[in-house]
Amino acid sequence: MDDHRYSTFALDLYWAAPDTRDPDLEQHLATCERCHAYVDHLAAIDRPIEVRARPKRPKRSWLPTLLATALAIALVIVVLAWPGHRAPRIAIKGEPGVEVLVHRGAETVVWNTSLRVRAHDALALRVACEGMARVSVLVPDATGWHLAFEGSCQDEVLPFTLVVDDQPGVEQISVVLSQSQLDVDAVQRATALETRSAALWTTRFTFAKETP
Amino acid sequence: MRAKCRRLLGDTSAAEDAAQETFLRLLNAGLRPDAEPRVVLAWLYRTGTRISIDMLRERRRHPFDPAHLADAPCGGDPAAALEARSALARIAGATPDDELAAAVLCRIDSLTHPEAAAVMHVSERTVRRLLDRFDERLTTEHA
Repeated sequence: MDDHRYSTFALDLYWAAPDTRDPDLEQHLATCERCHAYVDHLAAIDRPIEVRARPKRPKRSWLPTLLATALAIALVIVVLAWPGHRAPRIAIKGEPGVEVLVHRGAETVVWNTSLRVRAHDALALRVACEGMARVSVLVPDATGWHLAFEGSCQDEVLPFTLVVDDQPGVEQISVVLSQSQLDVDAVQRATALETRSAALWTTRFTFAKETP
Repeated sequence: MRAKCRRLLGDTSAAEDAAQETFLRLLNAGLRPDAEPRVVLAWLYRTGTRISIDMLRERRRHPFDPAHLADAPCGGDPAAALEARSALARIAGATPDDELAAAVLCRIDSLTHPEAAAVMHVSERTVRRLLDRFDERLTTEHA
């Protein structure tokens, strides 16, 4: 039995960096029940898709859709007062919510209506599901709203980013949370009507762009 | 990070918010991509501790499940950590950040003084001094 006493820091390091494991600690874990249980606990609570810091870009290309959107809209430098528009935010407890994160250069900030986006900003969406099972994200073009993402709803940043193009105008995103998976028509209809009910919750964002 | 933040904040939802905020800051931290794991973990501990302390101060009530401290490794003492956590929640509003950080790291996270010094970018002597002040503050509170 060794006399070493190990901290959470030492065991977190052991667990997170397998390539640099301390042989003494390896040996200690074989005999120390508490440390062994701690490491097991770390493994148990780990969720592999917890990469909230850097949302992945989607494999599918939705850039043409955004480009078409930007081309179709005249130069607007203020946020549109959309009818029925709700302030973008994490909602109060019990109500779903969506927050937009703007990644610009080396910084990531939470978007608010006074912040204009710029070309090449990456927009990520953080969702508070509050019981909703599915999330859909739509972006518009000249012909209407098009589905850019659909997946299960988890309280975290969605695994993709939307990159702002360099065309003048505004960018828009609609987010639909639902209790069950919806077909594209139903999601488009919810977006158009900005439906909110016990089974369906819609919000829409309009981002003014900085002029070059 | 969730487990670390939960040891102080006591509930999973708040801990997840703190952990997420920590990783968002990591994105902007400018750490070298080839930074050693120990350096990155120290950064995460330092930042996660600050964020959790701020969140603890903002919350009016501090519901806490002692089970979050039960799985301490052999370097920690769950009973002492629970006592420290309770004291820390009481006096967080009137205690300087560095004292609280030292208390969180050494008394709740069970870091050794050298580990806490490395995380906080201070000397071991400073860590000891901060812990002494924290204890003095508790003594004064009880007096």
